[in-house]
Amino acid sequence: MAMISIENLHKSYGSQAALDGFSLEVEEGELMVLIGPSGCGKSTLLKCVNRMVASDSGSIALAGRPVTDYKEELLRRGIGYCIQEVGLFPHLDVYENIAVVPRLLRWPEGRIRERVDRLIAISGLSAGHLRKHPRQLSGGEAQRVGVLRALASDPPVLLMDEPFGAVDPLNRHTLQAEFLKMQKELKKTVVFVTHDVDEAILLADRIALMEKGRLVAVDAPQGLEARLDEAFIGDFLGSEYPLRLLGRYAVKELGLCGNGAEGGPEGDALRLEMEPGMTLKDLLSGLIRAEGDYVLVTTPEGRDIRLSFSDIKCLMKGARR
Amino acid sequence: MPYEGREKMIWVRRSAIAALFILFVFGFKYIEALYGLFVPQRPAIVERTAMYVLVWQHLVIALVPTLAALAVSATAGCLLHVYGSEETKSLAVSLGSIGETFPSVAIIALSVPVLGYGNLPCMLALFVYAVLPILRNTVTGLAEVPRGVTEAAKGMGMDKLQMLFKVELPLAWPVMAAGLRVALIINISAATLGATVGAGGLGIPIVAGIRTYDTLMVMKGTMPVLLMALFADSMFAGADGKRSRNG
Repeated sequence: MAMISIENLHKSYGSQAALDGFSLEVEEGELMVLIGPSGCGKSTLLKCVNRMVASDSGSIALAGRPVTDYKEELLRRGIGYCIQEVGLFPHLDVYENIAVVPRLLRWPEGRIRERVDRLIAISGLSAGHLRKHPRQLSGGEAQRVGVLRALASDPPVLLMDEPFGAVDPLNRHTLQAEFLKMQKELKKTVVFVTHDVDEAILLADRIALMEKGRLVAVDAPQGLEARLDEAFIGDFLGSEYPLRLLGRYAVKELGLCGNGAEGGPEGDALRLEMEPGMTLKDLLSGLIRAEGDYVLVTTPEGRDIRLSFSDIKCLMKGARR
Repeated sequence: MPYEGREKMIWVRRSAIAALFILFVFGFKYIEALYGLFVPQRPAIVERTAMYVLVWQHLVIALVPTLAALAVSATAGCLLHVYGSEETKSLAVSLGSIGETFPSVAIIALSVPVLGYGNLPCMLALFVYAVLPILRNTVTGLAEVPRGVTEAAKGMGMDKLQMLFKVELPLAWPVMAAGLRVALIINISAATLGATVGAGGLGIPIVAGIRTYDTLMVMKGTMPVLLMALFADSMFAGADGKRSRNG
């Protein structure tokens, strides 16, 4: 059974339809990215799930139970919620900010402390941040606290509305990587709204592409590649989508699967260090930069591996399986 | 300046003002004696009320209406915030601004026919005068809480009362305190006007002093009022510090 089932949802503001018969199922432990142009209804949909916005018709069920069965406040306490503005409470320190929902749920103090310590440990923050006030945090740190606050009561479902949208690109990438790592461990059911295609490619188990309040396509990032010829999909994702898709695959995780000969003529070939975050996109960029047929990649063990374009194609094939 | 340093300065200021105040109130007879050496022909006014009694009366006349106004305005402001429409809120804000331009003497004069002479008309006038700015600042302060903060609070499952008491009021407090600060300082000085309609307080020596051209008498009422107003003002310096510390 799907963790979140959305069926034939309608919502209009005046004569403007924000959601026009939207249906979607999100599986348990799945990271679903909602993407689409501004005004396509993706934020409205997210807010319908925790009833910040009341839908006109249609239904949403959490683990089979309609959200309208719950009292609004109690429903929201059971769902993590994280927004672009972060909305940390300026008069409370980081610890108290994270503790908001557990306190609403009347957890004993010891359990709250334990939970906060655990969250800090899996995040990119240190215990020294706990007594700071939000205005003493950088943008990236505030966003991290925002995510931890949403996770505080260990809710099964997490709603995130462009949570990294206001952070500079370099920090955003770190935050995305950290979040992905946390998600692999916590396996929450996440609905993640963004308009950033790269972010969707990196994070999504599946991407739901929206237009004018309707679902256009829902598929894994690599699945959408095959559907670029369909009218709106190609327009929105862009013809360079396959190139961006390469950013999803870490070279390290794919393993070099016997591709590429070891060593080979050294000479003036471009040599790349294989860092943990190195993706196929970086590899291709290296090839373009090298202006040659191959690059040399130095593995963490110190071996040099020769990789050419056909190796990238082979790695891609492996990744799609 | 680091926060601790500023906090220390505020306390030094408070203590200095309080010390000056106590010195003036209890040492006035020495000042009077000293003054008598230079100005021998002072009008003979019979002292009917002791200085500390005047100070106490003055405090009651100024503080009670202000605190009552705080209670009434804060409650009304919260109710308006939770249940009021945008129109009623902006009405409250405009009323507050208009109210501040209304002279307090006029309110005192207008309330005499209803309440008669004495402390009451003066206190009523000061109450009315304090309600509007505090109400205006309560409504503004609550409305100025950043949208992201209230949305996060709502999204995490706070109900309206929890949002109000845990998030909105703490964040609106510096703005409310600014309104209270203005109201309190104005009321401490405006309470002297009560003497014209038979109220007690430090207005009595001022009015008597003006009638008899006795500068010292005027000073006897003015100086404590000035120091009380300064002290009240310094009490709010901390509220501002807290705001800048917590963002």
